[in-house]
Amino acid sequence: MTLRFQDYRNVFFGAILILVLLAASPALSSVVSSQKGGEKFSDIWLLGPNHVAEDYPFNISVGDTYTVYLGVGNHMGGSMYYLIYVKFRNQSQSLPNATLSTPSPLPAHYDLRAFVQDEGTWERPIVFSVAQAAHAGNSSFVDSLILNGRSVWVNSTAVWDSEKGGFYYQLFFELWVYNASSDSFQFHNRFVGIWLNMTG
Amino acid sequence: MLRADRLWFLSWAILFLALSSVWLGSVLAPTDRYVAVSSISEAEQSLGQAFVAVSGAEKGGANVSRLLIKLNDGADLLSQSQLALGAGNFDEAASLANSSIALSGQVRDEAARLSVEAGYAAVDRDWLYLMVSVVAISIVLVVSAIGYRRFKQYYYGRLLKMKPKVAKA
Repeated sequence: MTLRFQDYRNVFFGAILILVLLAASPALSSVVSSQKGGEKFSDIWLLGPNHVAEDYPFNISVGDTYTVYLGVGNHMGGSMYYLIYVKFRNQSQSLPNATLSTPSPLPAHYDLRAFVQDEGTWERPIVFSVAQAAHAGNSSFVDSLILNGRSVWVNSTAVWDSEKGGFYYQLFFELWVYNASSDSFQFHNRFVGIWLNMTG
Repeated sequence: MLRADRLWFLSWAILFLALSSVWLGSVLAPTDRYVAVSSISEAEQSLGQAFVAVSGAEKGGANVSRLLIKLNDGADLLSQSQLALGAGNFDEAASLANSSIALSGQVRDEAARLSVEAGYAAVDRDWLYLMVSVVAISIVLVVSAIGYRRFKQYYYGRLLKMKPKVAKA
């Protein structure tokens, strides 16, 4: 079967159209915005003293110093300004509510600020120790901590957990993000923490 | 040798000076604290404003990684300032907060400059892309027109050379 001239012509014009579009692609690229696809999110993590996800401090005592590494990753499609609130609680006090996206009502004892480029990470050591604590009967009272050299009053009491056998506290970190339009920080619904057993 | 009334006056003067210095200390300390706290508050605001400027430059196509490092330095200064405030070193706290404010100001200025440069670079790039496209489209059209014409001549030339066949009934 042989093609008629009109058929050849259609194929020819089709090829020309494709070539013209290819030739116009540099100019079109500056008009069409290149929006990045994919999910936008941030992450926050804690690593142990050896910079791996193990050997986290657990059994702690007054005067001893412990180190963890706090990290933040940005996958939001642009640079971000984060604020990390450091909070301390006992077993009965509230954590942030992930369902309602609300932070813990507990006061922040320390804060860290991080500017992170898109697809970048930020990490800082968190060195802490219990400065003052006391035990009385089946309760333990932590008066103050030293966080990265700063003395902070936490005034937290834990009762003896007979099931797990210890006085449990949690040091946790809430991730907040800067909102330029309101010139304020908003809870980013991300947090991470470690459990600590106050032994003495 | 001092007389008794002079001695009495001297002792009262010393006591007055001592009490005055205590009173002045208690009056001035909150002032120092107030200065430090307001400097820290200003440093926090400056960091936010600097970030907005950096974010704008980034959206304009500027490379802001160096500026983000500086902003993190500013944040560290602010953190140290808060540490000094907590320890009662108000002068040091104010000084560190002021350093953070100065760094934020530098970042803001640099971000504005980078933003303008990125704007010019984007215009230059757009013009270059436009010229490349115009030249490329022109070449495609000219070559296509010549090719079309040649093919048309070839096709009809070949058609005219064909011998008609008579089909048998």
